[in-house]
Amino acid sequence: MQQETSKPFLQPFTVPEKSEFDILIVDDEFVNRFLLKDILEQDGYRTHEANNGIEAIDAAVHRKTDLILMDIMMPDMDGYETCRRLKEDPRTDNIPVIFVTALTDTENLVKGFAVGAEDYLGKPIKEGEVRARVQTHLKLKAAMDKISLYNEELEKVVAESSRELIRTERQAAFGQLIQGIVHNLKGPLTTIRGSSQACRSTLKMIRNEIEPGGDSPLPDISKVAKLTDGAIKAIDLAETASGRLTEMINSLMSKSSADQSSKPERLDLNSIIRSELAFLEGDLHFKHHIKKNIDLTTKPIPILAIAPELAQVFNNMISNAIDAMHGNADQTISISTTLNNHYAWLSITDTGGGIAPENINKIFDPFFTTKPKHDDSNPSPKGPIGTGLGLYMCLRSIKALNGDILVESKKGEGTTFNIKIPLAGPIEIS
Amino acid sequence: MPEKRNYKILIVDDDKDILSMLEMAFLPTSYDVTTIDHPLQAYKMIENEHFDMVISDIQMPQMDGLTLLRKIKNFNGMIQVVMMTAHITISNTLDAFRYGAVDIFFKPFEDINEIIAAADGVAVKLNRVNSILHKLAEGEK
Repeated sequence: MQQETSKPFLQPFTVPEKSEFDILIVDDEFVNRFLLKDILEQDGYRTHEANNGIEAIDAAVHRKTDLILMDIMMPDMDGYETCRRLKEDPRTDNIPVIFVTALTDTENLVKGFAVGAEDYLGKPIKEGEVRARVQTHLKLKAAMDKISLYNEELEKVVAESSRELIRTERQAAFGQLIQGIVHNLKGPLTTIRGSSQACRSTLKMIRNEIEPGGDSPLPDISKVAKLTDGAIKAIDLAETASGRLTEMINSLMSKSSADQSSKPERLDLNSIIRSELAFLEGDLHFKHHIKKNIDLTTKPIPILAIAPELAQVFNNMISNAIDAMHGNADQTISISTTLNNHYAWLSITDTGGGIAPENINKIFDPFFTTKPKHDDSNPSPKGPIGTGLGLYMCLRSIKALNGDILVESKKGEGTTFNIKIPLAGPIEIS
Repeated sequence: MPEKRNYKILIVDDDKDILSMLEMAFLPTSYDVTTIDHPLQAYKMIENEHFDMVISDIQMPQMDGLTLLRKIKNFNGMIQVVMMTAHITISNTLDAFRYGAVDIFFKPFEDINEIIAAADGVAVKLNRVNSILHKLAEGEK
């Protein structure tokens, strides 16, 4: 808890002491500056001064400045121009500017607000008015600063919790896939074990047949030949199955070592897709109930990416497609890659219910989801669940590759996601 | 007396290697074994040809083995069905017996000869029941 409360955005908002505020006074007349300085310092503020526009900008950039009180009529650069420049510069655009002016007719006031000034003080100045306006704008400025700090912190927290949630989600999915993969290993294992046992039984029968003093006085040659062929076939089967087993284990190993890499590398988009699909076969629902149309370019597609991140994006998009088709009669996923204008395009289409038009612009927002969330209020949801972070993280990962994700969806017909990734170099001609 | 027949067995599994392996294991026996890697085709064959016994996997694309079991039992309750599965769960096991399977085996099999022994057990039962049915049919004539 101690750590939690130390985060600035969780602290209650209080206006700082007056002595913590620095006010810049800009006027070419010494007397005017002196008058304002006197009022403000008596009130407890710290002040610094500039006697023209250029100096004012320099001071605002280089010294801590919380508020600017500025004359309009100054030689060389007037107050309007100075204010305009201050508001254009991201280093100074959040400092409130109050014009101190004798020109209080509407036209001039409008001109002042047009260049971004926050307020004005009429000349001759009145002490009470100066105090009140300055205090109001400093309070406002402090509140604005706090809000932008909150926002920055919140963004950091969102990004971090997203990563955390995605990690948790992935771990859970991984656990489930491991079960599926182990299940897939049982197939070849059943063949190997059964074939060896069948082979032993067959060999015993051969031995029985040819042993002197056995069941028959003379070995039945054609029976022995038939049994021998059977035994050879059993051994062939065991060998093929052990090859399958090795292949499965190898692809699991290469997937798990690819999952360790954290630097961008030159990768083949098609092999990432193939290896992720092989991995997803561990999911029995995906393996048995989803029809797959896979149409990848025959040549490798070189891209620059971090392998596990790209695999995660792909995995996420496929999971979304599967979830979108939950309960449908026709569950088909079409996956294709194409090349166009220095970009690789990966297209993933499902035959799900489509995205409602009112949601299509929100799907990449963090925490937006149409699936029930898994939380305390909903401990055992039916059907697919979501955090609303999947697509948000996908888009972040793809944007980091200077790519993009485009979506097309028709309610009732399904959804296509087109993922665009820049090519890393020419296509190899094999 | 009914003649002692070579009982017909249909083995259903989407893994062709397992089918070949089981075919191999049944080679030294007197059963007439047919294999098929597609449950929908398997059911068509059961409708069109005579089988005494079916040995079927549970997890298959196109149709779940338990659904196949129910369809077979609905079509002809005399057909004896043995289930096998790599997906070892309580519900798979209980459902198999609930829907009328005679036995269930888990992959990888402890010993392939147990499946042959299960077929032999079914054969003994079929011999006994068939001889009674035969007598009843004789009496009705």
